[in-house]
Amino acid sequence: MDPSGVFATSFRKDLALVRTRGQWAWLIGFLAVLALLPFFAEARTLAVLTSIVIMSVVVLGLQITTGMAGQINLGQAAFMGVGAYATAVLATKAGWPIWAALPVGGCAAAVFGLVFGMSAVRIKGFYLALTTIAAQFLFHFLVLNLPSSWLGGSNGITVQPAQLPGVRFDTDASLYWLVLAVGALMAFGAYGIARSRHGRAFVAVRDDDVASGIMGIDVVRTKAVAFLVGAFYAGIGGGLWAYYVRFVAVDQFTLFNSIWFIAMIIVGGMGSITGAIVGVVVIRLVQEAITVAGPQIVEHLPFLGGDVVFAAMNIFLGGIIACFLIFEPKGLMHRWAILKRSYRLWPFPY
Amino acid sequence: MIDFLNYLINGALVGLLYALVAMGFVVIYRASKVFNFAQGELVVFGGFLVWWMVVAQGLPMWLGIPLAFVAAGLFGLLIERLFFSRLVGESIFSMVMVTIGLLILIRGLILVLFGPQVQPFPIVFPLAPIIVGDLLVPRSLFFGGLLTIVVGLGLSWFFNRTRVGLRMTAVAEDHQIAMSMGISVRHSLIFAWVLGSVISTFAAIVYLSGKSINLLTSEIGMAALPVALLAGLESIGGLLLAGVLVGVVQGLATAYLDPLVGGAVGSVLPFVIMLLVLFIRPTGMFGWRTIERV
Amino acid sequence: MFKAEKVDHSWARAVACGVAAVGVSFAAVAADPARAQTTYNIAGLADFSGPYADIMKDYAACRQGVVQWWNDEAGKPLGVKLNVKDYDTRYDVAQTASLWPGIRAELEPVAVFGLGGPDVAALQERLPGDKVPMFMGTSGYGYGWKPGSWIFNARATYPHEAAAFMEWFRQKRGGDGPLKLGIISSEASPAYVDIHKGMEHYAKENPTKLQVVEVIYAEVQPTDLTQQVNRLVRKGAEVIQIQTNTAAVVATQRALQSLGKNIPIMVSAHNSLQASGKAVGGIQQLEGSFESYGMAVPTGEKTQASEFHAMLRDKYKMNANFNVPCLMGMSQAFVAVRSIENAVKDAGGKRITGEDVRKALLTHPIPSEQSFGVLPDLKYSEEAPFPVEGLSVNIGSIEKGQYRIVAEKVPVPKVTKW
Repeated sequence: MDPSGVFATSFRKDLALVRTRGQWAWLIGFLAVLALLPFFAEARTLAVLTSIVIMSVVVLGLQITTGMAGQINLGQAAFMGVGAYATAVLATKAGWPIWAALPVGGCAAAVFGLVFGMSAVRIKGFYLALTTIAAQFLFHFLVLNLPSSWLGGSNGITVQPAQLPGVRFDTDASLYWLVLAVGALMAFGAYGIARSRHGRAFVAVRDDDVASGIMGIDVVRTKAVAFLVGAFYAGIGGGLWAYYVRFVAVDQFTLFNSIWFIAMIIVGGMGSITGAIVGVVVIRLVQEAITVAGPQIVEHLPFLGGDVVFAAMNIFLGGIIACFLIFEPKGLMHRWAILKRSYRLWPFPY
Repeated sequence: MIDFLNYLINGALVGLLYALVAMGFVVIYRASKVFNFAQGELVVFGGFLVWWMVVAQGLPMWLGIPLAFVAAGLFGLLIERLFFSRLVGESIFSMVMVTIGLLILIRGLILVLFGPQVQPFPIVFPLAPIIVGDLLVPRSLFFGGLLTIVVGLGLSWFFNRTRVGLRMTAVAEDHQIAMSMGISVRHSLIFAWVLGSVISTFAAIVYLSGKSINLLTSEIGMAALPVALLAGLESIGGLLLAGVLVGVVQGLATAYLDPLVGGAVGSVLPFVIMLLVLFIRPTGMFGWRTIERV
Repeated sequence: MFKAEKVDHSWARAVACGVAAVGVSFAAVAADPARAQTTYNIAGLADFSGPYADIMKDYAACRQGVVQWWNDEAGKPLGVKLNVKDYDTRYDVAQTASLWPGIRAELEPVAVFGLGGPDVAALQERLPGDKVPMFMGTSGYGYGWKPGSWIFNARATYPHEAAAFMEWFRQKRGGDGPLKLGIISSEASPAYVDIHKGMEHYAKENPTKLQVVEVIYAEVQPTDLTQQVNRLVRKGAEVIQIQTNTAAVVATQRALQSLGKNIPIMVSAHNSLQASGKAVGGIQQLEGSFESYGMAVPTGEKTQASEFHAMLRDKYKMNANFNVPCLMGMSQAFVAVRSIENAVKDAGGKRITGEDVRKALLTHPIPSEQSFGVLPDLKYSEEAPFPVEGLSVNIGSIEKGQYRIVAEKVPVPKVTKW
């Protein structure tokens, strides 16, 4: 809800994502801080943020497919892998520059995703989840068994740093800016989708596909589009990953990674674009905290033993997710929305 | 020829093992309409319970294994109490998400309680295989297969012919309607999870007898999904047939296609079957025809 | 676990500036660089909460132990102290990739201790630019066999180690004809595929010495291998190779027991006889099986390596068992500290960088005595991340229920890239 005194006086204003001058100030300030970060942040912060942005792109796609359109997708890591491999192959073997390889990689992932989505798009229930699991295993099998000259087989593919005329993306800062630029573009696109009629169609189909069918929404097409878009995002994320790590191998994109992506949208809040980003940030930060705090705890409390402490922290992470599901299934964004609302309404209760 | 028979029979028995794992999955689905993605983890947890009782604590098997079943049942009850009882009446979507969260949680739990090492699993069934002429059948798979058939038929009879079972079937159709008819969805959920957990432990015993157990064993959960789908997610009796089919196809593929292709075709074939089932006949062989096409 | 000393760079820099300022005025009079003690950092990548958490304790303790010993014995006379700081990577590529810039900035390491595949994947493209060499305690892989590498393995690849065993076993067996080998592998990860591809390649190049009868693909946790092992038996396999997977060893051993056949299994360091024995319920069940790798074999027998370990345990209070993970930690530590030692000697007093360490590794061979028998003689070159010739392995086995070393310094035959 808007702060009191702010009213939308035109349809365009009603649709706007940023509604008050205060919000514009915050947004621009935030973006400026992000852009200027390499100048004053530690190397480690920068690296963590780079990986957060890459994962956010993938998870944004998942949010559109699963959170908004209700299609449970357990193969997002495989789609990311397809994007990574496609981009890597185009960049290495065909010598394509990044501005061509990356989008085409995204499209390749989208097509791959569609192949698996098509079977379940026509059926209600959770069969889509099953086909996406199958996608994971098939992706793994295909990469390892197709001839080495095609996809690298068990050797993986090494990628040279991305290059644009005049710029070579091989330092931490330049990679960060590249990833940030693409990530910002994809996030903006995601917000745009969410507030457009497509986004509303996704949510309608998720909530009740019979009713939305009656209202005239083409349910099959909507589900297919949601799936395509989600896989495209995963592909772009995968392409960015290929340029970041510069070595693509099939065991970087496992079913377990897919499950973690789902955990991220659960924590952030399903259905909310901001929630996807929040989920990624929260989980990565907790993982970083574990990495940093772990050795300290082991040093100070040696009787616990390193392996118990670290395994316990794994449970902690899993437990957070389970807790979120029980106590706050709508995720952090819901809590945040409640907080904002009560702040704006104070001292009134509603 | 004798080779072919060997592969056939062994494939069928391995398939029955998949059916057993899938049975845990289907029981939970049948009584609560929840797709349990954490089924593999339940199998591993059950297996570790057996390991703990028999190997770590040194209890004799006739005592340790029943105790492990009881503990597994309690664990299933705990899961149901903590997570699913609050979600009665909620959308199935959120329940499925909970099972995904559960997957991560149980993995972490196993790591803390039992450690990450590979542990030896007790030899429940004697190691010597059954030899009939040139046919070689591992004893654990054989007896496991027989027991699977018995349990499968028993459960099928229970769900389809007894009052209690039919009530649970109603719950699987729709929680809200079942509640409005006076059927206790809570009881049904409890039963589902307890039984699902116990069956998973039994599956772990058949799968791992004489071998070793470790967190990665949970992969079998995913391998059982094609069997469940082929049978049709609501049919328990159908699982037996579907299991045999998938197992035979996989066994023959591993024997004849793997060397030809130079890759692990056998392990990926069940997933191809799964995709074909979804494309051609999503209800599976014996599922209820409630799949609504859009 | 040993406490890693915290090095506060900003404070050290300030002091260093002060000292330098004072020192400059004395520079004309007397500059004795050997007196000042320089500290260099080594980044230790570890896995405390991932799949290898169980072996990390011994692994990390042993590599720390070697560094501590080196600081006392070799470092002090040179005026150099090495400091290892461990980081948990959870065996995850993303975690390693995001940790690395921070590590580099914080420690400015001259070397990195790597753990496994994810470290290699995350860092192999970065290290040449960052100019820090990485030392691995594990075997190399075919896909890492590239020239100009900045990642170095203390041992050659698994196929190298296995080929050495095959040749030794064939000669022990006597007779003509190639040795018939069955391989139990998996497609679960590229690493497995790489190993059996290497073996097949070697067999193709040496048809008189080795013949691969079949490669069986099993899951990482196999359901039942009786049929598959039966096939291998019928094709006349004389030895079965199972590398890096303990569960597969157990399943194969059970299959052999049910079939009543006594074909030896050959394992590698990752699923060593000790580890597999524990998983199968007792090391005696692996009677007649072998392990082969390019490090000392940790049986109860007294060897140079075991004495060194005992010394570390007594003198430096190192709390680690003498087992394969410990030896892997020691291996990578030895290669690193000896290279650093050579680099310091070459530099003659100037501060060394990672690049100097790498150059020293490539120019100075490391004889076996310098690693107290933990490793064989090592001679590195630009061609590969590991020594491609002059290598040898040690072979352990279970004889009469006892774990013993059956062959030492078995030469590794020539294996070409696959």
